[in-house]
Amino acid sequence: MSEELILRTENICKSFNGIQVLKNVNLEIRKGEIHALMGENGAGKSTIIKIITGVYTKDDGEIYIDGQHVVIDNRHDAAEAGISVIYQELSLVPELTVTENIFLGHEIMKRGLPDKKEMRRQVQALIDRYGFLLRPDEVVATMGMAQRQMCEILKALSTEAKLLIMDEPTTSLSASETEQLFVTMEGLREKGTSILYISHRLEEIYRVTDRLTIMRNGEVVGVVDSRTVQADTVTAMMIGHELEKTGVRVPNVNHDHCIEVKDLSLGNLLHNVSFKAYGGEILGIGGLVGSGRTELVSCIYGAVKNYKGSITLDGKPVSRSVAKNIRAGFGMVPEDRRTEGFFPQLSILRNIVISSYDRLSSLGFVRAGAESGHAEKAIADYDVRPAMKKLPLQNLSGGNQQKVILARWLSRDVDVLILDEPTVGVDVGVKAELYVYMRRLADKGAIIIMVSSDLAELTEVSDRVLVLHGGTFFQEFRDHKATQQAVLLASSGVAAKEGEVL
Amino acid sequence: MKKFRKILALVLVTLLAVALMAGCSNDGGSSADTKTAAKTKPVIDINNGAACKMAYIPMGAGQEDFPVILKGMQEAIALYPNITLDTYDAGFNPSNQINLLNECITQGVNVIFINSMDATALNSTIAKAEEAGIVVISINNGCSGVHTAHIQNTTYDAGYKAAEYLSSKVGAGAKTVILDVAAELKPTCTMGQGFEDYATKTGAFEILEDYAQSITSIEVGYQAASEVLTKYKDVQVLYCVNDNTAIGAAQAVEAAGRQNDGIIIWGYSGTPAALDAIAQGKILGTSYSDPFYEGYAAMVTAMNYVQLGVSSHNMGNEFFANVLLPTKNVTSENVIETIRGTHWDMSAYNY
Amino acid sequence: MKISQKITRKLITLALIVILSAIFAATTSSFLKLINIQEILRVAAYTGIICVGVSFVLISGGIDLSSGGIICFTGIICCRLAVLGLPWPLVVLAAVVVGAACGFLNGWLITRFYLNDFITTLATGFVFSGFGLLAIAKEPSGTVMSQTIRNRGFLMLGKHVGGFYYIVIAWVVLTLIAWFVQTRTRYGLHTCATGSNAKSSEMSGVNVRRMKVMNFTICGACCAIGAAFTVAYQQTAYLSLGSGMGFDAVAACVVGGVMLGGGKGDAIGAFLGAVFMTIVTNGMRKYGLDTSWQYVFEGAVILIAIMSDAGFAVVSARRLKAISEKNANEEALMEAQKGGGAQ
Repeated sequence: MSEELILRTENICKSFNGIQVLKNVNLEIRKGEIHALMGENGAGKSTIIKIITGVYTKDDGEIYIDGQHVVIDNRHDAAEAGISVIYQELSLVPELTVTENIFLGHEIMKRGLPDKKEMRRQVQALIDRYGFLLRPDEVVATMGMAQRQMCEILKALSTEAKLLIMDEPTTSLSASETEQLFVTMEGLREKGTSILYISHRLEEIYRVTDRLTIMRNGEVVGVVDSRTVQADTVTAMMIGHELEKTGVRVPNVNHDHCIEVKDLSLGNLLHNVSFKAYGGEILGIGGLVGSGRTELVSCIYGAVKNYKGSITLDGKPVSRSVAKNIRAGFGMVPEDRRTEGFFPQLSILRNIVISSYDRLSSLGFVRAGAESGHAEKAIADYDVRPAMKKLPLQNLSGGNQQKVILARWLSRDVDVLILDEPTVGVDVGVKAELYVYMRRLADKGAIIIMVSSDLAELTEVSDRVLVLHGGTFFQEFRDHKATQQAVLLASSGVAAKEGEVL
Repeated sequence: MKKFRKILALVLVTLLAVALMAGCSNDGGSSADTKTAAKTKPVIDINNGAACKMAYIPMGAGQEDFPVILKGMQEAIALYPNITLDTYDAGFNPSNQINLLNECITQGVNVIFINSMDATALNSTIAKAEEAGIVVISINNGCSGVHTAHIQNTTYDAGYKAAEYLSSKVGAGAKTVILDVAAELKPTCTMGQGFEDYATKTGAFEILEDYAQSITSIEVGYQAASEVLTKYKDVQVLYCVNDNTAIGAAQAVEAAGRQNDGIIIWGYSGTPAALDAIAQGKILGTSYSDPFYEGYAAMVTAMNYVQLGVSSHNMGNEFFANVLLPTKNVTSENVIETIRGTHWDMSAYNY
Repeated sequence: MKISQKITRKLITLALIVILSAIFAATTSSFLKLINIQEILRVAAYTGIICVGVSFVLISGGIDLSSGGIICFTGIICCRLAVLGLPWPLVVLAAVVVGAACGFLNGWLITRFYLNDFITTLATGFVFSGFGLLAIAKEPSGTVMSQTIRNRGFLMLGKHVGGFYYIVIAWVVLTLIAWFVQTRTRYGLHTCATGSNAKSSEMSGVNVRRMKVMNFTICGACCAIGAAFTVAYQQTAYLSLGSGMGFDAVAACVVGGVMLGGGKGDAIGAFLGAVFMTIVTNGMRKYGLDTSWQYVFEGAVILIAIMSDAGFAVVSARRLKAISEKNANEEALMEAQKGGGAQ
């Protein structure tokens, strides 16, 4: 091979709890190239990155840096080998200056005191070498996001990093800041630094990267030249062949029963969003992480209250109080079940009945029989395993935890069910079960709104799909017309005309 | 099932308690007997080697004169191997003193010495101790309820004697401020009264104000004296009922730049810091007493009473011995001699 | 039937109480005496009543260190009202109202301004002690006056019946009520949910802020009840009343298995914790050791309790991980069988 390789992985394998998430991953990154890594959620991108940077240990396979075989057991080993990660959540201390941040933890000492002069000199030298628009004495808190990112990159470079890993670095940047970052990246490429760039946005991939590795289901499915490749080729590779449809459900849509959202705005996230969700139908909401999907459904549920615009259910305004909405028949399965959905130390029983005490208690006293009957029925109906109602929920598998949270709502026959990423961390078998329960509920005439990043799920399970991009609805797919590819393109903002109905 | 277990757990604890009480009910019965028998209680013949258990509860281990008082007590029982004396630390908390009193009752001690933190809060527990046949002796800080004896240095006489001495140092009608204790302590701390009575009797002093403070510390003394010095420009005597106040007052005089105005400061009790201040000429003198002898006197009193079987309760709650020990005027003339003879730990000072 | 973790934790505390009592009983002559047991129960009841209130706050994920200040303030109010000759139910009612108001203030400050409860209650503890100083009887000169209560009705509260002090009876009754509320009512379960995961509770329709405010209010009321009985026993109130109780009550709760951080424990645990801590202090005194060693031992007991809790968590996590792995294997097996059957 003519090009020198900075990083080569050979047959990396990794499983969690017996589920294989990486299968013989071979990744090759050349010296002085910007290499993109793409794949759907759960394709294994973050797992391979975590293995390279020493957060996880691999089960099998080898890693070579500069042709040398290396062992990476922890973050320190990765840093030694010259691999640095620029985190999405920046790891800078805002109160300190650029210089202090860069040398934080490995200050240059002189007679037992930090040698500020020498550190400042070295930082200035780095800035000059890479031509960054930074001043060594500037306090981080006073700098913009793009500058902070540069500072972060500089910090990585100060430790002689050969390979920078950037995970979705543009999510919090404006368009001009993004461009500034790209210019910086190109500058680094000229100096011979390699960058592994992870992004969902195709336009960015075209703009700045040289080659592109695509992953799917824990495997590398292709390496292409990112300047010439077609967008639909990429998406097709990411999705693989279209999954066989399990029979299209014909929803019995009740147009008289609907939630109507009108001109909903929320800070910088959502702008004049309007749509209707009907009874009997499963409405899917797609879009990238950070596109405002979660905030949108949280507004409907009443968990986010400071929105502008109106939300009505059958013409009556929807309350901004979660408790009132629950009494009115709402239910929500939140995005992150660990922080918002469940009570880890409490039993399965309590996790199921927590929202149903309006029915299971009289005058504030819990009717123990009704409570355990309700929970037992839910556990049986929704096949929670193990079926031990006293077991603390933290000891269940992810899929069963999710079943419990779903059962919390389904067991009280909710009228409006909002699901945010309902199957993250859930294995395939349980996924299918969850879909069955959702459909059953829709058949009863309930309104179901489902937010998902899982394209297969979005296109298969939803009867109608709305795609959010840039804080507003970008595209609507009716009557199961959504394909994974179309949704992906729409999410990336590379789709047909705005508002077009396919 | 779970519910049952929980109740069981609770019932078990309760049962444990009840069972123990039932098991001890014989004790309870006999204690009722001893109540009546207490009046004819056999004396503890300590001179013939009978065992006697005593406890001392100071306000807290940090009480300044506690080690000196204890030394006095131990000296008094040095030749009685069967008399034991335990000390307890109440951490300057009346509730703890109550708990410790109950502890002493439980352990069946014969004598309790106590520096009471609160004149009222301990009353019912002390009464309970007396009922159990224990001789309770309070030292310095008394309590209003029934107990056998109270040991204290004279206060009225100290004030009277100090005034007597000072009258020879100043002209008649010398302008005086008394930095006195808080009003609720005045019935037991009467040195201010003694001073005032001498003043009214002889006209040697003109009392400008009887200035009461609730806390006795150098800082509070300093603040009070500063206030007095600005209020009464011509004050000649600051009679302080406490050494810390006197030391604070001396600092206030110095801070006001009036150390050459011949303002006389007098204290009470004679702590090491006060003796040092007298030797340095910062305060004129103090009404000195050695806590060692308080401890000694308390112990001797206790030994007498247990031998005789005398306690307040045994005597139908009519009996109360108020033991007053004399004080001595200490000034620069006799301070070195006093320091040599004191039981206070003066090792922090160079004498 | 397997014994649940909750019960096991209590049985451990109970076993420790029995073992320690046996040791003290065997090595000291006075531990098992009737008056000593009465005394242990009286002291434990004082701590225990405060623990009942504190347990509510702890379970809902908070912490309350202001109990000492509330005891001081409400105790002084009891003393003053009792001296005025008010009938005892009125005195206690007034104290409870004031205590509840103090607790409400804690909760309101914490939820309204999103403050940290540790530091907030530490601060309000000082404030309430300050209120106590304002409320205490004073001489015309402004100095603190010590008052003796002679109100017979009120002093009744400090007496005992059939060997049991009234405070002990109140303690047991309050504990049982609290246990019932915590485990058998909607309120208690919402409290537990709030402590387990506040965000999830919010999403499940629990009014988390109201729960927190209510629990602090209950805690304040319990402090007032404890203070009333103690003042009746001591026949007076003073400024150092309740000092140190804030930390003591939290420590006793933790020893009894009420988890700092919330979601775990109940009033029975707090009850056992208070008994245990009192027995430790009481028993250690009998050895005539230096006070410093008592402190060391008490501190060590708290440390051991939280360490064993941590160990407990590790062990049960391992056990349950084994269960869930077994389940996962079973599931996989079933999937395989299903697949095989279909073919």
